[in-house]
Amino acid sequence: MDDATIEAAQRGDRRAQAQLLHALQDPWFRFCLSLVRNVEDAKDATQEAALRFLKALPSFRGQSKLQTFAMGIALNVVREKRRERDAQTDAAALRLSEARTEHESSKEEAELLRQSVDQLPDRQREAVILRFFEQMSVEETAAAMKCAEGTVKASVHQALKALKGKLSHLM
Amino acid sequence: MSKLRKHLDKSRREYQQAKYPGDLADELLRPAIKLSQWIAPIGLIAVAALVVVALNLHHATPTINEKTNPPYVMDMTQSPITTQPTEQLAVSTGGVPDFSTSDTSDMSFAPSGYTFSVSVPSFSLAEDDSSTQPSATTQATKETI
Repeated sequence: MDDATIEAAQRGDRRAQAQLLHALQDPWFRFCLSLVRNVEDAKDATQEAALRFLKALPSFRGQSKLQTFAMGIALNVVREKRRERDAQTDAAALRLSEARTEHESSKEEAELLRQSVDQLPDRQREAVILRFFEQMSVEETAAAMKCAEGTVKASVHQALKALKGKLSHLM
Repeated sequence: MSKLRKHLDKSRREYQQAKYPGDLADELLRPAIKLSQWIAPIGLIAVAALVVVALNLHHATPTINEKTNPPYVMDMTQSPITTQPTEQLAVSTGGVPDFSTSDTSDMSFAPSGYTFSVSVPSFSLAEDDSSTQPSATTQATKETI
């Protein structure tokens, strides 16, 4: 994603915008998928993030990487969807979550880790995914999460501590 | 490297294999791209149509004198194409005298310089051979006999 393409996309060049969307669609999708754990919801979130990204693109001033800017938008979308989902949470969803926990012992280690990450509080989960899966720096993660770098460090520390506790029998 | 870090790395590799099922740019930008592709041709056609209408109006309005010339009506029907060659008649005018049409007040039936007389041959059914002039051939035949 070179500067010329970004500037052209900011001016409304459709081909440049398409190039940016091609570059961002997979990072967006896997990030959303890791947070919502449902392909259709992740696809919806990706599309919503892309639309908001195109709308917000002219306001991008280059203080951060474009990918960080884009991930921040996707994170906002996921948070909104999560709030909607949480408002609709019922006993069935709770039962499904309990069932997943019961089957942990029969899963692969990676799957166990994924499930453990899923069970982290939202902030910690976001920080772990951005830091370790998207391999963003603390600064970039903080920019995407719109919080202080100290908050990111604390969230990651608490998340790793929780994961170690959950996976202690594997280590 | 701790075991947890190894597990995180393994999970990251799996995480990065996820691909968006489709083409985001195609899904979101295609309608706009298609519309923009049509704008230029439609604009050109519209401008061309306006120019044709303007030219027609310009040529039709000021030059027509309604009293002497009927308004020009463009015949849009095409004459059928004939596949057979039309038969042409050759008319020779060599033997026709020249008629002067400068003064037609005293034009007579016969052109000037010609005397026009009509002689009506008389026919009789009588058996008088002397009244009829024999032709050269019949005369020759009689002499031979």
